[in-house]
Amino acid sequence: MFGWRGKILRVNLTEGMVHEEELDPQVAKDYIGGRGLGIWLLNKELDPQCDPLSPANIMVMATGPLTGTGAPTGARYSVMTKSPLSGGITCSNSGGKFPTELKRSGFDAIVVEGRSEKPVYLWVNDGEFELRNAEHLWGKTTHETTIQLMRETDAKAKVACIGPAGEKKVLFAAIMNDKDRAAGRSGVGAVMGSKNLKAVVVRGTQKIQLADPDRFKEFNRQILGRFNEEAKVTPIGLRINGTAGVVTATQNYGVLPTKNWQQGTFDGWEKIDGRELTKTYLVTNSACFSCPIGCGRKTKVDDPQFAGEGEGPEYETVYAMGSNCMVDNLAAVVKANYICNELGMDTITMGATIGCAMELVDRGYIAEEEIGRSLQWGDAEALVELTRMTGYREGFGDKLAEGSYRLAESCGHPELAMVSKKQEFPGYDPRGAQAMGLAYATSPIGGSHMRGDPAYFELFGIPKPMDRLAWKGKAKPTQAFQDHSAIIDSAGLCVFFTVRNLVEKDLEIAPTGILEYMNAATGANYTLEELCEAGQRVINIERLFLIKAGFTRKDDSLPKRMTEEPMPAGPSKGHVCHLDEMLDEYYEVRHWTPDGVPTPEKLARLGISE
Amino acid sequence: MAFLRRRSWQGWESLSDSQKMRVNVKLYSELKRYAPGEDTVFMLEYPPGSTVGDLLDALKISAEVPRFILIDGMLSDENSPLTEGCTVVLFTPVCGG
Repeated sequence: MFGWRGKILRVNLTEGMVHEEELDPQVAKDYIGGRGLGIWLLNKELDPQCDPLSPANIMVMATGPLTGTGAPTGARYSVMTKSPLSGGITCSNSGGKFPTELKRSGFDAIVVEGRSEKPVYLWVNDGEFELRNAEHLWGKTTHETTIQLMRETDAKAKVACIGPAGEKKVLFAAIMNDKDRAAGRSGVGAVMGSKNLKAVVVRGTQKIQLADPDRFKEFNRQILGRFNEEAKVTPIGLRINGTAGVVTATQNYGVLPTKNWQQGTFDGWEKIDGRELTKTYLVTNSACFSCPIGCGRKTKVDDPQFAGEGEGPEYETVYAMGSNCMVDNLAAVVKANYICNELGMDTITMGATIGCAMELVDRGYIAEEEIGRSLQWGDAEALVELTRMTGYREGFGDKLAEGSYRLAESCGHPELAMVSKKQEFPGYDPRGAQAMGLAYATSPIGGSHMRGDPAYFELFGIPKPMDRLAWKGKAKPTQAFQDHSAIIDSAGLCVFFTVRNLVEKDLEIAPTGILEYMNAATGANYTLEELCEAGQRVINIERLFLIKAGFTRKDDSLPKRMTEEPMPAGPSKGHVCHLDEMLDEYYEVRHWTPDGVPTPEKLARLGISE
Repeated sequence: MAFLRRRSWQGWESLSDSQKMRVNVKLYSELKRYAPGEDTVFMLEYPPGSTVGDLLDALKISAEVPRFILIDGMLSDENSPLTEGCTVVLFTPVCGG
């Protein structure tokens, strides 16, 4: 096969067996790869009702047909499994170098089943594979594990592993690759930990064969040529200030979540903005494989209280641990980010959960004695200390390790958790960016910006500006962006480059650029319609999985704070999110029933059998 | 008195009160350097009918300089009208998350 490797590695940890399987070319074409391939496998093999932390759960790590091909930002893979945080599906996605190395080692995907009796790691070396003992690595941080495994296997090997948080099944534990890149969300690291799988180590030198290398090269030359020309005139904001530069935008739109989403503006925002990060702690930027942008932040903090070195923070981390907790100490946010990376945790859920705990304390629903320390708004030291305690499930950290929904529910106030499907939101208040509310509520993984990000339309004017406060007519572009994200995630690309450079500049989002890359790489002769349908197929099959797991329209929800409490001040003052109205429109656009169930006609059209 | 249609930030003193429109301006990120004085948050006065384009001209922010323009928290452009008491925020474009 071209583009794809045509091989899947099947790992049964209960039996300690690993074997190769063929990838059916028709499945590859219909589901693309990555996220699509993952959900196709899970829908076929996984009981949606299973306990996510039991051996019955299955975890898929899947690259896409463009991963490692040299297509710009073709560096990504997806981790698909049943989420211990939401009880639904995961779709955690990461870049760096590991996904390309995995594909060069000979496989499109790794499927992990069962549970090992003792800690193990998987070593894949250019088509050879074995499970190895990992007892000596248990308890080690992600950085220590990565360094040790490169020593044990190959200095050029790439490592994806869990830290202590994954071992202790923190419900939002991440799988970290290349030390500081995270398949961060929904607790994929806890699933890996529950399987006693400490790491996957890959080394590959096999070239990925392209169907039409000349056409691929020519198109790449055009796209990158245009990108570089534009970059000469318009400096690339993402390269200069990283994603954290978004703070300036969200603050001035009044959608920067502050004080556990009680406010949309934060007085201390300039102290935590990307520009400040660039001035203070940035050492250099970094890029994933084949990425012309380089939004990664290599940083270093010398302040003895928060000293450290690593990568980050991203915008989402800055919102969750900064404004959301009213912490304007950037060094503390960076330090808490380092701890999350080293212990292997999602920074969004971590920060949002601490912010929620601060409100629970503020309102008298948790006593500080129970926490064992003070926990007031803006307490930078508490942020760092509680992050560490959560990773090890120490003391009150054991409660925080369950995420904000379970924490708030245990205090009798689940409405104070800013979640959808029990997963915490990224940093855009939907009261001032209406379609973001619809995207959070209908995202298959719960609160997320990566499974469809209408902030691009509403706040960044990409590919075309849209009135952020209007809710009528938002369903169609939200649906289009979600379908598009499904294609991007499945192909192995990154949304940052793709939305700006590989789609037609219209709200309908026609993925013409991706189509060109896909056909040159795979030779599968997709039509534009087939590619768009593949995106819809992924979304619909994910929805089917959720319905079988017990989700209904009532789970496509936002907390009352978003839909009933008007924003108190700032540029979004007076607005609530009109979710219900948008939902009706959305289900109609999707050809789902008013309860959010895909109709048999829709499924038949996409060739999905229940 | 002759109506002076000077729309630069230096010219506002020439307008009578009824002809003045107060506009709050905030410059952030790379656009801070275009502030007329030391303060990057300031107020200007313009005659009715002025647009963001007039403001950009006055601040010498040429068309090639990448910017996001927000008027009272809404994404706007060069042709957007300025209104009495509005707040115009200018900053370098961002995206991502």
